[in-house]
Amino acid sequence: MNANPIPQHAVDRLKGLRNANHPGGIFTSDFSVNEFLLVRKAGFEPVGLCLGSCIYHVGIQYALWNSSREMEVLSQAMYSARELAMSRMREEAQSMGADGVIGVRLEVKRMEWNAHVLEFVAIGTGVVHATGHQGFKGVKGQPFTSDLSGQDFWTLLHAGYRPLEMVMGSCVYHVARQGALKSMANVGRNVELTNFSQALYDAREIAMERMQHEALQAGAEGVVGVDLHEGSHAWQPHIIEFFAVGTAVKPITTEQDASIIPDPQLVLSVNS
Amino acid sequence: MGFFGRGKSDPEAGRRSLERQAMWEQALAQNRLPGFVADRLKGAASGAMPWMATMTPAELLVMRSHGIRPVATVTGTCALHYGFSWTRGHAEGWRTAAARLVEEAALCNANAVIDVKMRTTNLGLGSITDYTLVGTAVKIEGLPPSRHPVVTTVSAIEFARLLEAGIVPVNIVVGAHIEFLTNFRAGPLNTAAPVDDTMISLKNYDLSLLGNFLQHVRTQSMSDLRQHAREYGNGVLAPTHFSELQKIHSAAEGTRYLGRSIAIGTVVDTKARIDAPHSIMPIVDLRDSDDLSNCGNPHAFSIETGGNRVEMINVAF
Repeated sequence: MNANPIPQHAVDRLKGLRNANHPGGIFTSDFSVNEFLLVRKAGFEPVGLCLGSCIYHVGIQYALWNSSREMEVLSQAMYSARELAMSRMREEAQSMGADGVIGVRLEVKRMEWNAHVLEFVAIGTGVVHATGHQGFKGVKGQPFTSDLSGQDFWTLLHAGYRPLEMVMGSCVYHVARQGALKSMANVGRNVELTNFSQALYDAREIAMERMQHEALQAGAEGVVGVDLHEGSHAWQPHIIEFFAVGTAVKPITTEQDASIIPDPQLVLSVNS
Repeated sequence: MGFFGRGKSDPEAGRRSLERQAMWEQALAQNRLPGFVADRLKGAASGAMPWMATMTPAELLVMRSHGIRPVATVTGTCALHYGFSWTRGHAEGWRTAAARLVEEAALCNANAVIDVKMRTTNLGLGSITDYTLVGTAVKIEGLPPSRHPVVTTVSAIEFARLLEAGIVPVNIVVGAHIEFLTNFRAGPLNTAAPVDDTMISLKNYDLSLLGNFLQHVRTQSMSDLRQHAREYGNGVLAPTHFSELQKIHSAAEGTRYLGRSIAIGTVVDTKARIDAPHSIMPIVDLRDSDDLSNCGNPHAFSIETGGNRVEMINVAF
């Protein structure tokens, strides 16, 4: 009984017969095991971890307590710092000859020693098409970027789309405070604070519009995996950042006929 | 007849404990394992003693179907005082612990150590940390014992899947780098591009000097990682990495920036462009996940009180 399905070269390596002298150098990646398997399955090979960082001094802007408005200086800072980190990452990818970067994470960290200094990091794994297919490059022949995991990348390709560019939109907004008289009038009642509703709506809307505009510029058909979240980076109260991020995608050639995309099989797992 | 049945302290037991401690001390000094550990491992290898594995029954099933047999639980420990650098201390501690783990695995004729867990214990003794690796040594049917068994953090199921795809996880590697940025000069207050953040400004600036410095520290730690990995394989999967920048003032040295970075990964050895034998079937699991069942939970809202007003930020029903 030896249905041992392990390939010969793997067995040799386990025996220690084959030494690890690969002339082609060594790749690094922050993939998990399953991501690695699926990316290879999708026909790509990792080449290296791509990093871009940007340490940014965020300016100061004041808003009147009773006005709802966008804080353009902050919006611009949050946007351009991320963009710088992303473009540095893309440069690294290009210098290692990658066709694209997947699993990109964008992180923002505040420096302990100065509340106005933020560190923006973009990290992802650069990949190349295993047989050198050039059709997967992103905008203007640059490496594509995507925040999709290895698993989602496989699934996206099988849905007939390819990633173009990670697109984002940011809007930092100051939400007006209410006057004391108005607050007094609301005591003990359920009242919609329309100025709040309106401000939150508007800020989110602006962030999404900016992201959509980026996707349009990239020549995308759509944006998948949109994540819309709010955050405050140690600013004064009532200042919120709305950030929208997603992967702009394009059909691989022309849109595939939906009938050739496999239907997911329904399963019910019996272990709990 | 349990081990702890007597209730009274046994002078024999005290003597035995001292004996064992002496044997450990001698063994660690000579870079080998004490006799009783070797006995346990050899016993497990020969089948005279029961095997021990951290696997679940599902993992055991996959192991059996791939001709892989568990042998023993093996460990490696190194308690290290990190003097100069926390970052390099980490790298060195893990490397020593990994070497000891491999030694134990080789003793029980294993071909691989899988499901390796990395643990540190802060002993509360200042800058002493204990680096421990615990894993399951396994044998692959039909293979002779390896002198240097491969070591991997992946679970049994993932190990089998990797081997099928022609990917051998070979070892755990650590890359680290630490560097001070000292020779910078803070520019005059109104320069267009300030060097560091010393001045207060209303404007947005890209502090490219600091950004490039941190990027350089990260690149160095990744190249350290590659350097160590080169010995074992041709790729590193490193989902764990950490880096930071600190600003340090001291009377003697003035203001300095400290950048440090560490990355831990699994080295893999694989042929490029090998086709994995699996076909992948998209599935939808009909069992409700925990995430979904939380949708019915009406309590996911936050309330902030500011003055005499209550803001309901996000109410999900």
